[in-house]
Amino acid sequence: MEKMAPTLHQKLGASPDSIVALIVRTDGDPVRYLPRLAELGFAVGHQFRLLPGVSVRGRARAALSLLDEAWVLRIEEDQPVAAM
Amino acid sequence: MAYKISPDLELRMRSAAATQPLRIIVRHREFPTFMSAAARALRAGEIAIRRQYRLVSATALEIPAAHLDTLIQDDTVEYIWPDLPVHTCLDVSVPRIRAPQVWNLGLRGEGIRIAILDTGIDPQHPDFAGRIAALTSFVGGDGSDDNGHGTHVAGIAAGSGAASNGRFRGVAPAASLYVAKVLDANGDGLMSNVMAGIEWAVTQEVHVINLSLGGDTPGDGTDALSTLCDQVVHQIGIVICVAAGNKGPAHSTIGAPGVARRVITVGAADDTDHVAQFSSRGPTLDGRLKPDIVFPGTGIVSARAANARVGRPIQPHYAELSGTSMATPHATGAVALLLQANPNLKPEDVKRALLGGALDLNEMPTAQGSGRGDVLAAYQRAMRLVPAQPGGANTENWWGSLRRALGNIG
Repeated sequence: MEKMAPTLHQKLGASPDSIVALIVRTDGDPVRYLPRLAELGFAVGHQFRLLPGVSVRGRARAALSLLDEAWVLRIEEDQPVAAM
Repeated sequence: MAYKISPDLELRMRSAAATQPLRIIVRHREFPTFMSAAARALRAGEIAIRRQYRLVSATALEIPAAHLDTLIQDDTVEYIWPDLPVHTCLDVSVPRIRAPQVWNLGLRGEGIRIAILDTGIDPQHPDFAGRIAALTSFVGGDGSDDNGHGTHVAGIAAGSGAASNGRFRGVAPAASLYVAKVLDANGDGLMSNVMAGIEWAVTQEVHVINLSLGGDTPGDGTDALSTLCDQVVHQIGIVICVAAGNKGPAHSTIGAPGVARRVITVGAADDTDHVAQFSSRGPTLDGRLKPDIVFPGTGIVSARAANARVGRPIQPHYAELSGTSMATPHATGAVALLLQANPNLKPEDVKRALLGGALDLNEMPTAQGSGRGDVLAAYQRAMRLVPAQPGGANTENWWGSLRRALGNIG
């Protein structure tokens, strides 16, 4: 599976300084990657155990740099949901 | 003139502006035809026919108030009523899916833990007294419902009907409720909050999770929220019921997590057992058939939160809402009854029983799934699928897998 959908890649590249909300799936327990995420300027929201990962907010530029991290399995937008 | 027109319609006619459209039902003396002026108004498009009935000689019309006189003077017209809005109370929709027949077998959801992940719940509502086992929030606040959607949904799944002398009773009125607020006062939220709510529900050892929510982008089920849902169903053994969405009748309009493979995706049927126009249609973006099933979801009267911002109030404690959000807790309540009947059922057994027992509405599979849910038929299948052994091994295995999955939580 690709790490990031091409449409998201394009969106982040188009405005690298914008703040984005993301869900990052990690290789195993996300706790060990928190320092690296902080180093990249991300604010971490939820940490997920069943599907290892975190929700984060940070710059689009930093999100693109996550693609080079071996422990990052997938990055996607933290999309809105609504009552139906 | 008064002899031909119902008194309440006459009152409406007097108080309405001349151009205000009125919805009426006209009974004809013989065949549904109009004479002279009324026929001319019809041809001119000033009167619109909404429905022509076959068993009775009658027509439903939309007509400007000023034109009502034309109809009254028409010799072919026998009587005129206002076409009043109707609603499907829980005392209609719950019997339609044959839940009371299963109640009569002694099954009301006792011992079954239902998680409602929504806008919260009104903890003071009499219909939930003593049955809210846990309440939390992932969007601030204490989980109290500041929107009204979550309370309405919870009432359909498990309201006792206490504030209506049992009239507006939910499908599994004795089940316990575990409520997480994951949507804000506007009914909006983020996938990550829903995911956090699901992980919380897992630690609460719930049996079934209700998600009357979703994204509006059509999906293929590979997103994080859908993937988590599939994992919880498959690895932990919790049933998840998800609303298909309200983007119908266009095709491929189901978003995440309704596109998840292992969840039960629920569309809405109306009070005439047709798939509701608004109910989102499949297939998923990767070509899978969804929704899985439909349940009643139009004009449903259920519990109303004290701070409700949505729904048409019917009584102080009840309101009317429509949507696949309302259909989904009918399915969730049904699942609770099946799991109480046969604790050995795995999520795939529950889904098979529900879908196999559904009434075929003869609509497109991408609209109706397997058809409209029927709790009694599903119960009969559920009891045949796996031998029921109260307190069977499934509960043990379930908690064991949970502990392995979540490590040191507990």
